[in-house]
Amino acid sequence: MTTWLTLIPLVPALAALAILVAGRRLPRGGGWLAVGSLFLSGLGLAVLAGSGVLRGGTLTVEVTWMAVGSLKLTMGFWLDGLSWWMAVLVGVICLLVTTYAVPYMKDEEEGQARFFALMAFFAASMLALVLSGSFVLTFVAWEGVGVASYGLIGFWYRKDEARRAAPKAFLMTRLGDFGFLLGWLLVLHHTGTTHIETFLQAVEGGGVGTPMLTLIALLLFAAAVGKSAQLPLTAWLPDAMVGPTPVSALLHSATMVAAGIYLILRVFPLFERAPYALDVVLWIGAVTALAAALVATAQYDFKRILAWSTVSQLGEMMMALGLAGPVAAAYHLTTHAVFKSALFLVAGAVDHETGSRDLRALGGLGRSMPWTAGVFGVSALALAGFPPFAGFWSEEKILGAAQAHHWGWGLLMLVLVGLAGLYISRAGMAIFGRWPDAPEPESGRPAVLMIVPMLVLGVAALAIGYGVKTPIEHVLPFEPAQHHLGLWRWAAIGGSAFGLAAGAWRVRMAGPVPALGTFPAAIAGALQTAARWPVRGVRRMSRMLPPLEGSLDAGARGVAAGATVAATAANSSESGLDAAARGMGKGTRDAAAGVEGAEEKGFGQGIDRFAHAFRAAGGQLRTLQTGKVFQYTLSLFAYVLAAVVLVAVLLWIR
Amino acid sequence: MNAVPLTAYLLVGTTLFAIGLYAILVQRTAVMVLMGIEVLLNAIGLNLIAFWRFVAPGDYSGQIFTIIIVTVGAIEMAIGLGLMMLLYRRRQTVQVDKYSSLRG
Repeated sequence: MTTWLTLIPLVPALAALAILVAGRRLPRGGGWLAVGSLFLSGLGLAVLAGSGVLRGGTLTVEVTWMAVGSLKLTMGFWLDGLSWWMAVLVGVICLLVTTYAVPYMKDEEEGQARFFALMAFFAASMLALVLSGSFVLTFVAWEGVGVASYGLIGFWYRKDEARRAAPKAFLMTRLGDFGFLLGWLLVLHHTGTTHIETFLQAVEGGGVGTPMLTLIALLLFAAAVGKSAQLPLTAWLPDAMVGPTPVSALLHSATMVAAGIYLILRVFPLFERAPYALDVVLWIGAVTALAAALVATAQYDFKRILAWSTVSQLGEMMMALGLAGPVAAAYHLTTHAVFKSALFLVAGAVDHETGSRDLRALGGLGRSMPWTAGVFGVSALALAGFPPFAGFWSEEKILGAAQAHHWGWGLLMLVLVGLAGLYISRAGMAIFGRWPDAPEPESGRPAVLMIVPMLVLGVAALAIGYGVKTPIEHVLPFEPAQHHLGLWRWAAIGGSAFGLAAGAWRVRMAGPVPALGTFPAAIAGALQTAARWPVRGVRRMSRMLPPLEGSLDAGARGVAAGATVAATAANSSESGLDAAARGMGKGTRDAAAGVEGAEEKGFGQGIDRFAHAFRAAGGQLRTLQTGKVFQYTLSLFAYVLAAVVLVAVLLWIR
Repeated sequence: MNAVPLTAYLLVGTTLFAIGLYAILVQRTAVMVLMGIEVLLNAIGLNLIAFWRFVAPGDYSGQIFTIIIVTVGAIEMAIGLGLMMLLYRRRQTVQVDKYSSLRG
């Protein structure tokens, strides 16, 4: 069983390597290799389901990576209900999206192999991340998905936006990653272990003080903020949409950005003992969810709407965590991954067939792309939390936790549900429906291989909400909370229906204008500006440098003036000495002239000939200087080799 | 733990060294040459850590030296890439063959 566990992330990793080496010679850039490896991983997970992890058992592999003195870093996998659940989710969505990507990327002239190698590498890192049992491996995999994200956002590196967005995403998430690094180093310092489970036991045993727990929790949360694009590290995610759409579907909506949520779920006992940190999670999640949902109502780019929507939904998950509802968060993570990746695949199909994803340039596609429109409808209803679609069940869970905390949080959830309905029905109406002056562009039909994964995810978006309601409570190692909802449930359905209707109606009447006026766009601008404040600070500091330099300069100038005065004085005394020296010089020169005359007649010619010989030899030697760097290097190594051989021979003779 | 003998580590180290040397001598672009240098450095690091493991495993200064080598490697890479950027700005090329002002 443990072999299976190790193989699950390893197979896609090997596939990535193989595609990197030989992908250019394979049909479709080795895409099928990636799909096949993910299929095998999925099979492995199915086999592992029989190992008792679904009934509270665990399975673990552990090796010592290095032991330095008393420090011991371990790496290993840890399979329990939570990691199995996440691994299945990641594996299935990776498999579907990669399958979809094979026809999607077939027209790319170059870089198909690079694309699929990165996708497989991402899948391997992500599976390692969720299955990891030690902070070290989690951190390594965490950075691995970051690298894959960087490479895939910048996939079309000839585009300016892609070149800008890729480093932005990498560096902004990196700000959070520092928190992660410091967090697990603190864990190592205080408990002497990097094994997550041992650490959590120490926490539950009361081995670490509450202030320290809060600090560790906040540091780990900083990492989650970066990866899950919460405020204030949000701005990278909408920009990341310049990558190919399968990338957006897989990394930037379903799996990678959910890693932050997963990290907190993984160490949830820690957060339970750090109530202050939990409050921070709640507030940041709430503010992010609301701001991002508002921004989403004012966007024109379909993918940007989905990106802001993702940020908002991740905020809702953070809220669920902050309200001490880990089951609700994991549940919403699951349903969101399904319906949001379906929505992205729809966006990809629209973009692929019409060449545009601007709401103003699209319209009336419902007729030419019926399957795509159907999948969109189901997943949009799921996003809006309309019964019986997936989002309804999971958002109901969050709502339950929220209203039990305080009625204000319940109200916020209702607003969020309504906003989700508003922005997604606005997008749907503008793309698939008819509205005044809709352009109705020409469009082809998506390939079957693109439609099938969309359909699978669409059906899942319909069924998974109710389907996993009971299983998830059994599989996850958390106590499920039961809340009585009563009127709240009807209010949520009403809010969702109102949002959906309002969004569609507004487009029908006025075209795809921002649904709530332009002030949400101002929020987006403010968020972008907020991301820039560290840069501003550095620039302001650099502006302080010139005056400082000026004053230093003035000082230096004073010293120089003094030195000039001293030098002038020295000069005048020197000129007297000079006159004396000149007299002496003349005498010497006369003497030298006499000697020279003698020399010229005597051995001067001999010396000349000698010099000529030297020059000729030099000319020969010049040809050795070829200016070719490798020859210099080669001769360096050859010399060293010769020296070694010489010494060896000498030693042998002796 | 010690199922892999020292010789195996040294063989891998030697192979890496040879690969790095080959890259330095044969590759035309400066990036690849820098990568070759990096491989050389890591081959040395591997040798060092292998000797540490088999000769003096109790004393962890070997590990510390290797970490220093890795750090130096990173710094060296940064400087090397910086130099290359400057060279590229002057010569509009990263082909090492084109840098021939040393020719006599």
